[in-house]
Amino acid sequence: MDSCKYLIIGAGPAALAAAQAIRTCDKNADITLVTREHNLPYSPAVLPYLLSGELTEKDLFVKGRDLLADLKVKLICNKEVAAVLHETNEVKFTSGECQKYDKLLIATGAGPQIPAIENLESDQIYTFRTFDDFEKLQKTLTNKQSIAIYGAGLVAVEAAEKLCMAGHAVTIIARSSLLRKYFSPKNVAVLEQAFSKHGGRILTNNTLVSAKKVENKLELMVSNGEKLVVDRLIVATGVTANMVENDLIPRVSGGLKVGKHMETALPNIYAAGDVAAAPSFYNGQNAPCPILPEAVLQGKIAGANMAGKKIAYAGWIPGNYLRCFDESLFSIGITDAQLEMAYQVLEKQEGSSTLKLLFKDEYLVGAEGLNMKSIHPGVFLKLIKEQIPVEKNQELLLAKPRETACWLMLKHGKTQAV
Amino acid sequence: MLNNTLTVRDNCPPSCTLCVEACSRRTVSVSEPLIEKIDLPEVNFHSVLTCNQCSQPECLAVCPTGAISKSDSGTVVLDSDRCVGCSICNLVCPYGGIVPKKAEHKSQKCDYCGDDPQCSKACPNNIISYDKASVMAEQMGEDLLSPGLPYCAGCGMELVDRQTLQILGKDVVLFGAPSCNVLSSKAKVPYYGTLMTQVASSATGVSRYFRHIGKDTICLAIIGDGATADLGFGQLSAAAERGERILYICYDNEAYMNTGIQRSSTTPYGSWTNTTQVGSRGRGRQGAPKNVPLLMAYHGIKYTATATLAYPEDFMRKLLKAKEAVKEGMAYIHVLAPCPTGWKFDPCRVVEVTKAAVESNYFPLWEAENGIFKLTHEVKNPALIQNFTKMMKRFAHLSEEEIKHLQEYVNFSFEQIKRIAASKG
Repeated sequence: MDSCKYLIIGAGPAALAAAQAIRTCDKNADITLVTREHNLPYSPAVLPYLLSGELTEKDLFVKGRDLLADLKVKLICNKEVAAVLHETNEVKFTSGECQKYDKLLIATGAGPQIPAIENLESDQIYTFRTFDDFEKLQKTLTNKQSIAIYGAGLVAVEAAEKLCMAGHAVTIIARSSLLRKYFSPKNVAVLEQAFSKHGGRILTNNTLVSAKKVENKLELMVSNGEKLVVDRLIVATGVTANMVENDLIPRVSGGLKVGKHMETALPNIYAAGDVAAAPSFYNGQNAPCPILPEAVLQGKIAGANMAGKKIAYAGWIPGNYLRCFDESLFSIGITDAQLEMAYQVLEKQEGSSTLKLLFKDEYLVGAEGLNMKSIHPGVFLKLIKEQIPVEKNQELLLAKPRETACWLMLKHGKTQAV
Repeated sequence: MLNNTLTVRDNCPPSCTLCVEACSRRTVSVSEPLIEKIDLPEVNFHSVLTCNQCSQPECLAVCPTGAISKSDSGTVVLDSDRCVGCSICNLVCPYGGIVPKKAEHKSQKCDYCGDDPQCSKACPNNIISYDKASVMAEQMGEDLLSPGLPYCAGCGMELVDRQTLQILGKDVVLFGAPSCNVLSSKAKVPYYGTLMTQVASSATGVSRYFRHIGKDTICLAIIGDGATADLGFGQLSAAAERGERILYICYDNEAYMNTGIQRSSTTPYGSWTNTTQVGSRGRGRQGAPKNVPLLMAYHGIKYTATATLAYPEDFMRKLLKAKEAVKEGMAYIHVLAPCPTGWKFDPCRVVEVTKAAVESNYFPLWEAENGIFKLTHEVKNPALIQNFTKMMKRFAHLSEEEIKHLQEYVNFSFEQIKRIAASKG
């Protein structure tokens, strides 16, 4: 019997996790990753660390290289998929040729979304998404420069931190505030102070109106009327899923709609990672959740289901952890109490550290902390994900979060199903 | 693959932090401890927390740089040089095993101090212990069962036989009688088939012959509860009283399963069998079962133990002790052997059922060496007996009242063995 042909479009964390899951279930599987990039697989989450030299180029690719070899997975680089022809079980490349598959995974990730900025040519901007982007940027950073970053997401903030630390003059232009989607305003304010302390500047509630090239520099007009002259402009205003051409896969909230087995509406076609709009853990609504742990989990579940297992995805729970300068922040699950009044919110502050916990009935639904001494965010995530009842211990969990979370985790002693 | 394992038993003393202190001294200079003390007097919980060394670690799966890997002995190792401190591992670890480094932008975790954990050495209460896989692997010899299995689907006896022979080795003569576990064509050692009434006396004769010719060949009986507790009990008791040098393993499936599920004297209270029917007149087996291992220990033999396939290290240690003891006298091991056919449970759940029996104290694990009793696996929070009975149909008819009665019996016999162990006799 011929071995089953698995084709995975993309070579990011979701794609690798899927390949690994397929190999676990199917020894003889013929697994191919196809990417439009020219390099080995890597995880985009750590690209900012290249800027500070904490990560070397060599180390970026080690995991991907080792996994490909261990899993006996073929990698095809420099090939972009033009269309998915589901009726004939083929994908068509931009080069014109086609490749057959038995099972297909779309794990193309997401790319930068560039807003309309007057007079701006695409060759004048830098983005923050792929290794190529960073390589391009890195080459220009030979001396100390003034750099504007438009956008305030996690990668933008981490990159800004690394650039500040490397001695560049960094200005962040944020349309609202820093990391608005991830952390509450109080905690963000602490982060903003840390930036000013390290020489960074943040212009909140501003948009970039226009950019003009003046000699070797860029002249930026900001919506508050200020004019900035910088050496580089990095645009990191958000991401949009890298779509593949096929109108028959329904799209939701900018992603490919998948069910709880990560399957799309078309037979033998699955999607995972930033491109997939999977059901949310809380309300089952489909939307992308572009964070690394969910990409890995979705990839793993997609891979197992592609190889014939039946494993359901419990739904995504947003989770973020940021160590920036000397501050550390985390947020898990629902942290915005305004969304629904039914949540019980408990908060505390001790010196420079704060903790906020959100409960619905006897269950934890969200947690956010700033500079907590030895905290394990993953334990909170487990309490949420496995619906471990906190019962009457809400106050205790707030007072002694680490101890109580660990006690609840050990008491219920559940193990991960996947 | 066998993994090294750090086990944390029971509640720690509230004020003790010796393991944490030992952990910070694991390197030449003082470092941040990677084992944490959890004190929660509000709910009377005191324990320690460190990496679980998961079999499929989530930290390893998400680590963007591949700094986290698994060693050959199953330890999850974090390579500090490749770690960039993104902390995504700490975000996904459900057990709090990752600790951020304070001074550097990096993460760290327990690596069993490179296979020599300081915490377990420092623990004066034996709450933290470290078991090396190599110890077990070294004891496992050649697999002496040939391919093809004579058992029902889901029977655990294959594992019991295999492990027993792997540990005892080839210098063994097996004794059996008509039963589910006839190994005449399966084991790569001589097999002596006899009648159910005289397994112990047959083994006695052959064992005496080996002594006579100056050989230490082990005469090993593996036989069911019917032949042990009922038909052959007289012979067994006599051999024990004489101190015959035989190793006798009773696999207890709590009824005559091979002949069609008839009650034996180890059938538990309330259990359905074909001769203890449930209907207008019957409610399953009435009265308490015979506690054969306890009776055997009170013969004053060299070694007695209870064991199960669900706790293989425990079983292995007991087999090794029995192997030594049988050089001087009799060794007896009573192995609980859940029977999917007779107990009526899903064949894929034999290990779970066996575990549930131990974790509810239905089948406590203990040993008696030269008359000194010891519990070898004390259960922290014993589960209710329902957790065990609900897994099988032979107890499906039990009323609340009957469950209560069974629970009382379980409590009584556990307290009994615990009392004996505490009194060192």
